[in-house]
Amino acid sequence: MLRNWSEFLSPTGIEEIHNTSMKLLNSVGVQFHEAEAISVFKQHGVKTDGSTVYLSEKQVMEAVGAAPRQFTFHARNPERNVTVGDGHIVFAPAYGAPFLMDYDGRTPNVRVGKRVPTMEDYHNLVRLAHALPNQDLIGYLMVEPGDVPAQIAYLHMLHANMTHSDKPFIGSVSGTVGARHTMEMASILFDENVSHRPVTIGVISSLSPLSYSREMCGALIEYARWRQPVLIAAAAMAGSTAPITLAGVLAMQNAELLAGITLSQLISPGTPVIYGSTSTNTDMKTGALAIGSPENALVVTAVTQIARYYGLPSRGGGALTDSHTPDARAGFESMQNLLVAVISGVDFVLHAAGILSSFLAFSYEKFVLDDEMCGMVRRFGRGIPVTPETLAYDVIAEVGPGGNYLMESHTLERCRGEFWQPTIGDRVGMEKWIAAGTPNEAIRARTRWQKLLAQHQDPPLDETTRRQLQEFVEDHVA
Amino acid sequence: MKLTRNRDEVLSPDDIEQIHNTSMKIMANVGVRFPDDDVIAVFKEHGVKTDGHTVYLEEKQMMDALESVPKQFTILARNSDRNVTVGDGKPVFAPGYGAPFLVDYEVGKRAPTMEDYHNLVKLAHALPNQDMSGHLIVEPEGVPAPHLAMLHAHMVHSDKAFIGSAAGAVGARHTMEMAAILLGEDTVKENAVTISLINSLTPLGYSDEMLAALMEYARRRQPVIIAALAMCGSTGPVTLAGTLALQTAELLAGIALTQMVSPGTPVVFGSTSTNIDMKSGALAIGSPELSLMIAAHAQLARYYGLPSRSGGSLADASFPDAQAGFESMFGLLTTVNSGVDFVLHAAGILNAYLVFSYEKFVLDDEMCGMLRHFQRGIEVTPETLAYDVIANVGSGGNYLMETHTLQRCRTEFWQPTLVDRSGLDAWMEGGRQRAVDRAHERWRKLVEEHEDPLLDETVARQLRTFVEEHTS
Repeated sequence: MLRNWSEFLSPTGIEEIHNTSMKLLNSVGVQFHEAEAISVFKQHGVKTDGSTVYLSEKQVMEAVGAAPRQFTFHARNPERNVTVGDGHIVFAPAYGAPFLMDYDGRTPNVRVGKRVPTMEDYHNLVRLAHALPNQDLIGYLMVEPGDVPAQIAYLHMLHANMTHSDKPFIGSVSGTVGARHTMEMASILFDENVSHRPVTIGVISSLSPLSYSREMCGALIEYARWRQPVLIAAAAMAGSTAPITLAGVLAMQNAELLAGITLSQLISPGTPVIYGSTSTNTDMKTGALAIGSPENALVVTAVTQIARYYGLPSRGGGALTDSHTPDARAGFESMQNLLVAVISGVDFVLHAAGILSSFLAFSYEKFVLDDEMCGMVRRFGRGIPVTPETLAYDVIAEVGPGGNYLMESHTLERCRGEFWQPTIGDRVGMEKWIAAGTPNEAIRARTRWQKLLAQHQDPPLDETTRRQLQEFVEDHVA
Repeated sequence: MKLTRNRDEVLSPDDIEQIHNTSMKIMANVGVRFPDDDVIAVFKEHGVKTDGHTVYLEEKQMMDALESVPKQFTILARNSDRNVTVGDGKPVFAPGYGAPFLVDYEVGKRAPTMEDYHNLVKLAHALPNQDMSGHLIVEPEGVPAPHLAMLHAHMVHSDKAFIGSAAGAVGARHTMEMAAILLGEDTVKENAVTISLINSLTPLGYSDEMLAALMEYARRRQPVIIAALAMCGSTGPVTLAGTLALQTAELLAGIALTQMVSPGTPVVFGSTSTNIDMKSGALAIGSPELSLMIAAHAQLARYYGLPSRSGGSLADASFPDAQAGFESMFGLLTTVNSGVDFVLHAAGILNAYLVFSYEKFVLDDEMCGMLRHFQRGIEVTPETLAYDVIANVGSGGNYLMETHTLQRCRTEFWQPTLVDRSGLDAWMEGGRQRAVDRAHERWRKLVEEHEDPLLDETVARQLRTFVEEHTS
């Protein structure tokens, strides 16, 4: 692990952000557009006025104190359990993209550009998420499949998640019903009532500024009742749905997030939560979201520090780019954000792989490329071991000035395992690259995903469970 | 805005102590080779034990020598607005250095010509984030006395500070003589007017050519970067900690030399060491190991109180594609976050230092700008916290038309030059340009629009004459 975390805010700065948020919660309030949420707050003595909730610092800090610093997701295969908040970063695929971008390579007759994803794409992406070594979770809603009715798409997606992979999966937040069905299917999958251990997580987005939608409230409440982790996340746009100044964004979203976290703890104290954000700036010329910007990277690092201040696991960052194709810019913007996440000590990274076009598009090629980057930054996070063995004084003394280390046993013993090896990255040099037909990184990525898909095999699932899951989906799509 | 952030640290204080102790042991017992009699004489004069061309420094001798190294220094440019300060907490960016090949998008890989060299200097001049115009951006082919032609190009096409030649004593001397013509004898005597890259020869040595250059510059108190490029597993131990200990010994010995020649000579503690790729045997500069070495080296520099040089936009990729993008950002971001003071190779490099790319030059400069902005951090004040504005807009409102927003919308965020933020549909309709395509358009435009900054006719003539006389 890195020895320290990157920190941009001073302790005073964090205090001031905290105090501003407390003032906002107390005087301006946060709106919850769901009667049941208001009812829960009321029951616990929180002041409400219509759909607006006013929290005191004491109420918020009590809730924050109840949430655990770390928790473990249970996977269908216990070897794939994932712990969040223990200092090791967790990567999960991109989430929520409405479009797919097919890579514009030079192969004739290959579909190019933007299109609407299908359920077949969804199945492929789950298989890929299963195969990619650095994706710790299968994820959910990598794309929004357009060839199934929107109201029941979640059932097909959950089914795909549960059958093509034994990694932990993310749940549906299509209101109370989406959450409940996720839990009912999970209960079939695990063959037990799963309300006593985390098996999934709901990504609950606030609605900046200062509110939560009915659908999100419903999902939050349902997951909290099942004591399942919730990732409460803001996606504010500085200059549009939040103040143009980043400190203002942080203070405002902090109020939103803490209100949502408080709700989860009032329903079920000790339910794991993750404090999250993908807030960034609006590009003031085009009005578009700018997720590949240095401002986004600044928010990532600040959010991690603030979460740490509250003793909560954090979510932020990802392989984020505004580019519409996996080019050099997609590479550098994505690495900027992903690396900042790692060095800041973010616990959970959604969108760790696959995103293009400011969250609007998912790309098969980028999925693979980004997974490679996840491996690189993970390696970086492991640091440099300094021991008498690694300092190797005796070897240095023996080789002496002007000598060489290649044939030393110290080298030979370690040469296979010492360094990170790229899977699609190219280190062959210009001559060989030209001789191979100048395949750029995206083309090599495409070769790889096609290979991974061809090799995929669903992990074994017992017949009864398989049948019951199938029946559940059939019963509920009708 | 004051920088309020901390620096990346990968070594614990105990790790640093262990590395330091190992380096001191190597220096005192294994020694470092300096194949130059003048150099050996200097060490001897200062009571350092020598045996032939091998030098054995004691820890005390080493640490005493370091005391005279300045924590920061300023390099004068022809245009004083472009003076460069090293060691003040902000990184200095300079272009790629030493690539034997050039890649341009239309033609592919080739040997660079002098015309290319002129173009690259013009670009270095135009690119907003390159603080110096550089030197040896590529090795131009078929040019007699290339160091003279290059120095001349830098002095004529740009008024930014330039890097000096390390082509032996002659290269250093010519650099200083031309600098004297350009800036005046007195200026050159009293001030740092350039900086040069002196590479060690890992493990534990220096070439005679580099030593000759080092001596010339040190005698004139001109800054030098003393840098190692160790290859873990080949010219250095396969373990990163071992290579750090090894190279620290050779670098500090070189730095001690400069201080013995001329106490107070500005020096920079440099490293671009990395692993070799065990499959191909090639240097791997786009690797996570490189970034670990950058961060560790910067920490060691701070431990010794020395300005540091490391990192850059470093890639193994053969083309400015996604791999080149993410490898370069990995290196450059780590460089900036680690507090490195001087960043050579800040732009242009592909293929593990072997290739310079016009398009990558422009792309990397954009990254330098992004990261400069990132380094400014987040300002937290009542104004920026904007409580009143948030209260006013309330739940479900919008900030676009708030005065607070309108007052700041032009200046608050980083402004892209190359990066295009028009939407998905506009991009599809506009021909689906990749970043490298846009970079190509931009460099062509910058070269076309270039105008040499005004140079006094006498000086221009004297420079030309100097080059002619010394080339024949």
